[in-house]
Amino acid sequence: MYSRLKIYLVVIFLSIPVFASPALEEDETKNILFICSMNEGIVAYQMILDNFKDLLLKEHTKPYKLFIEYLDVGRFPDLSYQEYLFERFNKKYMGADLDLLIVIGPRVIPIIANYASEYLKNLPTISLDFNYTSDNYDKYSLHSNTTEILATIDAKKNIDLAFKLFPDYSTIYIVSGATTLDNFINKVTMDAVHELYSSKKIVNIANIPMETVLDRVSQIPEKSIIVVTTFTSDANNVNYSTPEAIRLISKKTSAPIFVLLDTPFEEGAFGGYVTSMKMAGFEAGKTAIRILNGENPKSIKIDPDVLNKYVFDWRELKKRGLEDSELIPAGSMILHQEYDFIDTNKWLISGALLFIILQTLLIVNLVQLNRKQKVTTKKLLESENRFRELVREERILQMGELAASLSHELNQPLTAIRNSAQAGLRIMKKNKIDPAIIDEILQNIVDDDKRAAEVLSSIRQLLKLEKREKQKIDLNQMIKQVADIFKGELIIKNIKLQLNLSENLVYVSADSTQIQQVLLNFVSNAAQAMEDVKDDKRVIKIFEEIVNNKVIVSVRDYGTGIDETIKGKLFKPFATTKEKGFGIGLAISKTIIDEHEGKIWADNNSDGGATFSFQLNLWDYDPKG
Amino acid sequence: MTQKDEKIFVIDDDASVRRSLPLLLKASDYDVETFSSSEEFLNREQFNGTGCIILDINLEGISGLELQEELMNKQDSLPIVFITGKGGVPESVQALKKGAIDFLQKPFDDEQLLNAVEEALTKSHEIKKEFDQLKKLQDLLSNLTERELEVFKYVITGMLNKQIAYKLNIAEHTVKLHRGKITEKLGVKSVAELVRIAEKAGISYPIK
Repeated sequence: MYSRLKIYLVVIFLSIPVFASPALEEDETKNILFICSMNEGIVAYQMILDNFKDLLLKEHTKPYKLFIEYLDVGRFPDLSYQEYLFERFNKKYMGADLDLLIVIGPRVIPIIANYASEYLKNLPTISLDFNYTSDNYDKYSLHSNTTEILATIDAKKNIDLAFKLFPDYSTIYIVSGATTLDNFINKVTMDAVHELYSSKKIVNIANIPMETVLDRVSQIPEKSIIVVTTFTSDANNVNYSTPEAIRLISKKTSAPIFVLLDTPFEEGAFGGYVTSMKMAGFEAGKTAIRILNGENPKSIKIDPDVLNKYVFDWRELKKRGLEDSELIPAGSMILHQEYDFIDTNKWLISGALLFIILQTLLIVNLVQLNRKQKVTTKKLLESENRFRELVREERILQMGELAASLSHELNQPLTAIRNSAQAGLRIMKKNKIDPAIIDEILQNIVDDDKRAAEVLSSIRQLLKLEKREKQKIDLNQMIKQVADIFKGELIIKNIKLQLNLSENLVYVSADSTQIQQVLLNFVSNAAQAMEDVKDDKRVIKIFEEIVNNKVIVSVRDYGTGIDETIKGKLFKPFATTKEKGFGIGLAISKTIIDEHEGKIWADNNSDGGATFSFQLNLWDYDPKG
Repeated sequence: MTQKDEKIFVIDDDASVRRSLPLLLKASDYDVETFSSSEEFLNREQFNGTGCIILDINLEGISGLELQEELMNKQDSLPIVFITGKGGVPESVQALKKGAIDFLQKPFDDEQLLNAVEEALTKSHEIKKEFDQLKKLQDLLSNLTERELEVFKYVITGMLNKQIAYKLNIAEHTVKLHRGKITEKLGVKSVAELVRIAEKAGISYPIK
């Protein structure tokens, strides 16, 4: 009967394979909240966010999570609505553990100043805005925690560029929408033309319905320049975006359309000295990394010029024979360029053609090889994952079988003891006491009790039999292996595992598989303890501390914590509050750690969950060998 | 000590259980015999009294459920109380469906066990009584001659003497004589009683 038990234990200790594991994330996820002034779907926001993400992906290896909120102040300027919005945001992000706030667009800063919670206000902040609107914010004195990125719209350079490229054009049409913002930028632009080119004819097409705009644009004579400033809504209060407006306008005219922002370049804009939303995204990204790495936001200064760029659509340039013009400022960004190789490089091309054909053959060959290799690698990976999964399942199964077997082994003597004792009671009641029978009963009880005790002690004895030679093991490597074994299960259970290990190599003298067993048990318990915990709190942290030639490995969870009733006997066999399981894992762990002359303990955390730790002696390096 | 005609058979491969369970049963004045396997029990000489079997479901060799199956084929089988260390629901359902009295999870209380045993013994008495009656009937029926048995089989279908005579190709008068003999030998007065006897003894009508 005991032999069955023994086999299970042996299998458990032998079945932890060693395989390499990829490095795991060692730091917390950064949480970033974006608050945008306008509505979702504005191209500028999309460009800023896309390029922000691009940069973070390139430069920042730590994981991050973005939360994005839109105030929609353009369409819903009522402040009581904004107040209501912030009541919700304040609540929503109260426990979100945010690391950074990024506000984009006009009017956000005053709204935050008035309605945001202290928590949101005190976050490190990046404010992305146009410089002239931000002038109004002085009275809200930006918090000391804020980096400002101010975009400047330089209408003058735009107009200047337009007439440099088209010196003989005599008329300039300024097209704008009808919102306050549109009117404001329209005015800035109109002023700039007046100031620079008083001799030219200026026509303002602003503050009218889109239909009228298109009608007028379609009648624009040749040799005219169009500048579309911003177009967020027409006089009939129909919402547009600047790119949308430019798409409609460009269909009605062949005049070059100059723009102030780099948002409409897919839609037929010619070019301009623009405020680049792409650059704004990059700059916000760079600044975010600096702040997340601990720099003080207030001390970071961003030169507004970095956001401004000469940008042209190559297709529009070519239409007007300007693609090679010397008038295009150096360093301009040329979009949608098509290279005409045959025209420019006839001889080179014909020479290269032969080379390319030869190379193509080689490449085809290589690609095939590469594909084969990829398939093989994929298969290998799949089989490794399957293997890992199997190991984990097998382990759980074995634990279950061990528990079932132990349960059966204990049940038999317990049944017998109860039968005997109750037989005794019945005999006593009848007053027909036969000393021989009483003797037999008591002897049975003693025998069966001894048998139960043997079952229990056999667990310890078997562990001792399994004593194996201790070796110098790389503790960090081993912890990563355990993390790896649990990877699949933790993904399924939606639990994040964070490792915070010493950067130096840590060696201990230990039986690797046994110590793994202890750690597996800790992690498995932690995962079970968090079954009823909210998703965003499902985190297990494994961390290492080195103190006086000893290393402490701890596993921390945010689960239900240790039940007070079993706290004192946690490491004794059969102490458990779990419905499943036998309460033997921690007892085995203690035996293992005792065997290694280490210490094992556990306690509840003040802020929820429990931490289980063990301490081992560091590898005593003997220089004599 | 004369052999009692009521006995409890304990079949369990665990020695502790085999030692302790009889003590409990004997304290309630039952006569107990223990076996460590199904095979050992099957090798015992035929037991004709009343009683029951306390049977461990997880036995090596012939398992508890298999033994139940085997014993069910006998008409005077003893009722079974199952005991188990690791009771599976499907097993218990199967056991109870096939007529087991109870399915007790170890460790169980004496009350539980003794109640189940009492129920099993009551059932055993019923089975025994029915079995004895059947035997008596069969004895009576065996006194009939071949011809009388033939007539008997037709009588219980409700046929008139004339029809029976025609079927067996004998005189109506002869049928009357056989009928008189049959009722005399079986000690009955009406056809209805004859039908009841036939049903109990499992005699079927010749359907031709």
